[in-house]
Parts: sequence; C-alpha cells; structure tokens
Amino acid sequence: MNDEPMIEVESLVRRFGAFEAVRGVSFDVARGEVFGFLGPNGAGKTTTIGMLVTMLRPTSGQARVAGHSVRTQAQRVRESIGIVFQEPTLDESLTGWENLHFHADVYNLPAADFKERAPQVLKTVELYDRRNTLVRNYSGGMKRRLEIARGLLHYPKVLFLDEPTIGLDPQSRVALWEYIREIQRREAITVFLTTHYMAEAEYCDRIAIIDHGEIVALDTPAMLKAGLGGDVVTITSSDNELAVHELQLFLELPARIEDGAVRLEVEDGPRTLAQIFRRLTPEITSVDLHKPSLEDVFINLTGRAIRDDEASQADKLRSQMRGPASFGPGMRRP
Amino acid sequence: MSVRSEVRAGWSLFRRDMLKFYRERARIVSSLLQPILFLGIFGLGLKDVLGGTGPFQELDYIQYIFPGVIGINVLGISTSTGVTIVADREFGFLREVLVAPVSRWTIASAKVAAGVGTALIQVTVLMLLSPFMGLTPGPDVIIRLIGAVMLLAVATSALGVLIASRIRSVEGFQYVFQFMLFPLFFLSGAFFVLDRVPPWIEFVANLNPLTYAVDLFRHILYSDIELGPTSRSLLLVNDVPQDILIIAVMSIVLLAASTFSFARME
Repeated sequence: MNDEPMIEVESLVRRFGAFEAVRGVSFDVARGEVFGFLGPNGAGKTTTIGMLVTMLRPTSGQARVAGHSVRTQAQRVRESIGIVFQEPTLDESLTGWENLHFHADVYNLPAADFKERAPQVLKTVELYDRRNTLVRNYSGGMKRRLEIARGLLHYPKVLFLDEPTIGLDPQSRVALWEYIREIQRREAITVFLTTHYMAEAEYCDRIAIIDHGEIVALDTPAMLKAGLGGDVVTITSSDNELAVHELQLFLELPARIEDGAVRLEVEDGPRTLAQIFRRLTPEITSVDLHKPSLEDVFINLTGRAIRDDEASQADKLRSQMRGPASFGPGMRRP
Repeated sequence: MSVRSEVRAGWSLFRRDMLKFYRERARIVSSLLQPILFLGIFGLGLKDVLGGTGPFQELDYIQYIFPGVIGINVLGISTSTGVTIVADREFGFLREVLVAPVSRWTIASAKVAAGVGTALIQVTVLMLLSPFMGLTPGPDVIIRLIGAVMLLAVATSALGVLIASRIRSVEGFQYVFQFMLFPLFFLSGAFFVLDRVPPWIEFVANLNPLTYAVDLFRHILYSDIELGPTSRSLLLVNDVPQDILIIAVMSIVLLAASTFSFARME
C-alpha cells in the first residue's frame, strides 16, 4: 500500500474547444515526494492541476490522486488534498482565523482537531500573532502563507501549489520554500507544484518539464542537468553564423545559435574555450561558461528560454482562448 | 460525504452570508430605502392625483401598493444573493468553496437559504411601517405573511443563483438583473390592475411569480378589510391555494434549474 503512487496520471488530455491545452501527459508521483511541473506560461500546468483537483473534467485519460479517480471519486479526491491556487481565494472580509474556521467547516474537520491544528499551521507560516487581523489588511506574502496554512489544515495527503511564489518578493519566496520543505519533512506529505521559475524547480525531488501541453523531460534536477554534459559555453561574436560553421567544421563541436548567441554543451569547458579562442576567425565579443542549470536543460529541450514576464505571443493567445472556462490564466483579475 | 458534513458545510455557508449582510449596514439601509421611496412617491404622490383614494373605494392607494412593495423588496434583496456568488467568484473565494468536498447542491441550497434569510429580515423591518399605512396586522397575519414571503424568496433567490451561475462579472449580473427587474415589477399587478391589458402582457404577467405573490400578500394583508364584490374580483384574482401551488411549482422548477446549472459550472 505504501508503495502505491500518490498521484497516477495516464494519457491525460484536456481540450478547450479546438485548442488542446494538455496533450496526453503521463507520470507518477510517489508518497512524500516534492514534484514540480516546470514550464512557461500557457504550457498547460494550471490546466493539469485543475484536472487533478477535480475542478476541470479531463477530455480523455485517467488520473488517480491518493488512490481515488478524479473522474468517478471526485469527492474522495477533494477530501484528501489541500490546494493553493495561483490567485488568492481568501475571504478578505474575514480574519485569518475565521478563514480557517470556515475551511474546517466545509472540510468537516472535527472541532477538537481544529483547536489543535489551526494554531499549529498558523505558527508554521508565522501568522499566529496576526490571526485576528482582517485578511484585507494582510500583505501579499501573508495572504499566500495563510492559504498554505489553510491548505494544510485538514491533514491532506497531497498538497497542490499552483505557482506558489508568483508575485512575491525574493525574501518571501525563500521563506515560503522553507515552510514548504519543513511541512513536507514533518508530515511526509506529497507536494505537487507548478512553477515557471527555474531556480525554484531545484527545490523539487523530481521535475517534469512541460511545453505546449506535453511533458518533454522528467527526472531529478541533478539528472536533467547531468544529461547536458559537463559545461555550457555561450559566446557571441561579430558573425555568429560563421562561428557556428567553424566550430562544427574545425572542432566538431555541437554548436548552435539560440537567443542570439552561440551555445554548446561540452565535457571540458575551459579547455574547449581555449581552443575556440585559438581557431575562431570572427571576433569574439563576449564569453560565458557555467555548469548546466535547469534553464539550460529547458533551452536544450525546447529551443527557447523561459522568461518570467514575457510569455511568447502564442502563449498569451493560448491563455486567452481559455476564456470560457472559469479555471486557468484567462480568468485572472486585471 | 455524509448528510452531517453536508449540513455543517451548508450551515457555515449560510452563516457567512448572513454575517456579511449584517456587517454591511449600508446594504440594509439602502435596500430599505427603496420600498420607502416607492411608498412615499407612489403612495403619497399619486394619492392626491387620484383624488384621495386609489382605484378602490375601500383602500388608500398606499394600502393598494403595499403588498406589491413587499414583493418587490423580496425580489430585490433575495436576488442579490446572486451578486454574492458573482462577487465571490471575482475575488476568488468561490474557488475555495467549489473545490471543497461539498456537493454543489448543498452550496446552491445554502445560497438560496441565505437569500430567504435576508428577505425575511427586510420584510420584518418593512412590516414595522404598516401602522403608518392604516394596516394593523395581528400575529396570525404576520405569521402567514412570513410563510408567503419565504415561498416567494425561494423562487427569487433560486433565480439569482441561476443567473449568477452563468455570469462572470458583477457588472454583467447587475445589467441582466436590472433588465429583468422592471418588467417583473410592473407586470405583477403591484401598481396597477392588469384587467385591461393586451394578451401578450397578460401572458408575461401569468409567468411572473411576483403576480401570484402579490395576490397572496393581498389575501393576507386585506383579511381585516371589507371589500366589495367588484374590488374583490379585481384585487384577489386567484384563491389562496392556487397562489401557493403556483409559486411552489415555480420555486421548485427554479431551484432545480439553478442547482443544476450551478453543479455544471467548471
């Protein structure tokens, strides 16, 4: 029983009209794992979460959460999970404590459990002292923390976090990750989260990289990076096309142009760089050498970079196409 | 999911709406101001135009419109339960409710119950004005009136939930609602008798739950007043069981439609 995955997903598809937002994803998440969905805006992350938390009906495919089918046992799934959505879902006219109390009622948490659990989760996110303040007067970071506390209140088996750190300042982000890690260690809870921040994906035990509704890679962050070899070298020169041509021809290196620079993944970066300086005819204008990051993995897989704020035009269009559904980025408050 | 947990969740939703209503004093005051304006402007203003009495010898014009004003008040206040759904959606809180292990039927029913609850508070306050209009309802009249108000409020609250389940913004909801409100007001017999109107207006009036509710309120509120046979036939169109049956059927249909529509939301 303990070896059974907490989340099992098989060929999950969701269409909005003619647009296929999620195009047959399959993966398992083990008990106690922190599993990340990494991808740009509009890649299908939120839509996938929507189906896993039973807010969106899958067009086809199967998914089980905590052993229950999201199609036929939605009620059981809902009892077993805690959710923090991308947009706030608090009642701002109530205090933090009252928000938790309402949650306990709709999740049918026994009164004795509530008395014990509510202070505990509030202390974890350092909001216990502010519990009687109206949520209207909370900062953005406090609201997000209160949502996490609320998501944990009813002892869920799986905690879903959709872009948990979006819109937070760097300190709050780091603090939030500490809470998530602490909770996960203490309660052996399974965490499923989405993010488009590369640095955050590093906190996950395993990540699935999703692009255009499909999983393009799935592994531990270390393994994904190891797959790229030893070093990533990026150079710009007076003639990038010629540089690539020469690197391929003379040095037999897998060079290519990405984002206006020449990139290559190599075993021994410093040595290769020395060779490049010796052999290249175009004038080199800048050089970068680093160990592969998840950013590099993503670029290698998709041929483009994830950027925080500028989703590509196509992605924007895609999120607008989700208009009719109340779920997804299309519904964000202006 | 057990009956107990559904009841607990439903009660919590109901209590939250009532608490919010109580905390927003401005809403209570403004929703009371509207019927008082109706009574003042139509009741006192038209009274002189109409030469002291209304169209009926036995009644003041203000007494003539009072049952209709109660009906309008119930319609306005209980349908605004729909606004709370749309506002919760806009502020995101609806998602916390929808993703909880609570059936959509419970959520929709709790919303309707909150609409009925707020309507009862409003009508109770409104009844305090009745002595100023020469009506002195006894306890039995008030109890019967409360029952009739609840019946109407179920229908109108369910209508609010139905509209809310299909509309995404508060502005949109108010637009649709305003569009419906005035035809419902004026085609209910609340302000003028619908005995010499074209057949299509009569048809619309016959579909309007307010028509039967106003008729029912008149039966209850005029029980102490002697009405001549002509006035009687114009004022009290249906008999009481007929009114109750028709409003009850409309309530059930609207309740079923609204919970169905609410349950299908994604």
